[in-house]
Amino acid sequence: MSEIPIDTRRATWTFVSTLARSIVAALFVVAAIEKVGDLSAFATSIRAYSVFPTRTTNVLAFGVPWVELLAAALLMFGPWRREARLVIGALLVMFIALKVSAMARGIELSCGCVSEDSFLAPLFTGIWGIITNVVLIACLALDAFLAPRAAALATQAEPATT
Amino acid sequence: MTGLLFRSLVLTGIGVAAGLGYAAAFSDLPWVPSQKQLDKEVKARERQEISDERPDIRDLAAITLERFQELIARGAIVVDARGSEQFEEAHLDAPTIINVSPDEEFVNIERLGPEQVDGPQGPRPIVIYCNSEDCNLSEAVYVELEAFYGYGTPQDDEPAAGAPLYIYLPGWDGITRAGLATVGGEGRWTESWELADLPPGDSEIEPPSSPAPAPGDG
Repeated sequence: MSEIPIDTRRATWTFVSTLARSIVAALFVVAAIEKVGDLSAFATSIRAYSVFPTRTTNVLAFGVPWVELLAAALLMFGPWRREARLVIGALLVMFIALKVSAMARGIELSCGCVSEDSFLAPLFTGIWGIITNVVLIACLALDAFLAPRAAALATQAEPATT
Repeated sequence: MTGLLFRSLVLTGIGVAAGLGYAAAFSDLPWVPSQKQLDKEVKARERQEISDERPDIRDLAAITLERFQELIARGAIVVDARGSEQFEEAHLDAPTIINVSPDEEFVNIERLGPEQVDGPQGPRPIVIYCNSEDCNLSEAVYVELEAFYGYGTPQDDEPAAGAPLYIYLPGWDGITRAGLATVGGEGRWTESWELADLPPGDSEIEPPSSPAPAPGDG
């Protein structure tokens, strides 16, 4: 049985992990830019969840989009890619928990992830909001699994080529 | 692992600091939401609940632009349900138009009571509009008029109880798109409206068989 050449494996894993983190980073950048563009609407959507103290909701609305933006940029271009993955993963878990808690309390609302007019809005409406976030976590996990292995293969391949 | 967590917290802190800096420099939003803003949001949620509970209102009361213009020409009372600032800036140039905003405690709604609306020819129709198809201020005014005065939209073969209510759903967006005349300042109230001058063919504003007494007739 012939083994797949190291270079092919490395290229495939690099491609898949780059694609996975690009999807997550792109969605986070678009979502963050939309939130920064209408901070008032984002603050209102945070309040609609009735989870955070009302007095803190505007400050949360100021901070969250920039954390998303910074983490997305670092996930894409590094350094601190692992840290960015962790922060984005934590945000996604928090978004899922908020959405589930709202649904459990019978609160029907748009998630506030993107503006209601956004072309991305269907991805975050109702149960799709949870499904999309789970898919994004899976993309992060795939990237976390493949990226170090692709790097390890690169170091294995280097002595062979030199 | 501890290093990873620490650096993740640092990353989060830098993001939050950037956001707060940006807000301080470029955003008008206060750091703590004002009570006025919170009240407005509560009202918006209540209105959304009304819209969700009464989806029939849009089906029942919606009228086309042509019908809207015809009703105005025939003396209908136009109700602008947007905020008073927007109303004073510009509103439809109609002979009778008032501002009744659900966000401002329905001020002026008393001007739509039966005594004001009933005339010798029967009750005047009322057409409500707000910003656009997406707003639900018109429905809130509709529900208020329905609850307070028992008005409603005439159904097939069934006349309205009291003043007939209609909603022009495209609202202010539709008015400006259609190029209808607009004007700023306060509203206007024209007392006289003559069914005799009206074009024929609208059964919904036919005078009742026994005319209602004119205001002030005892």
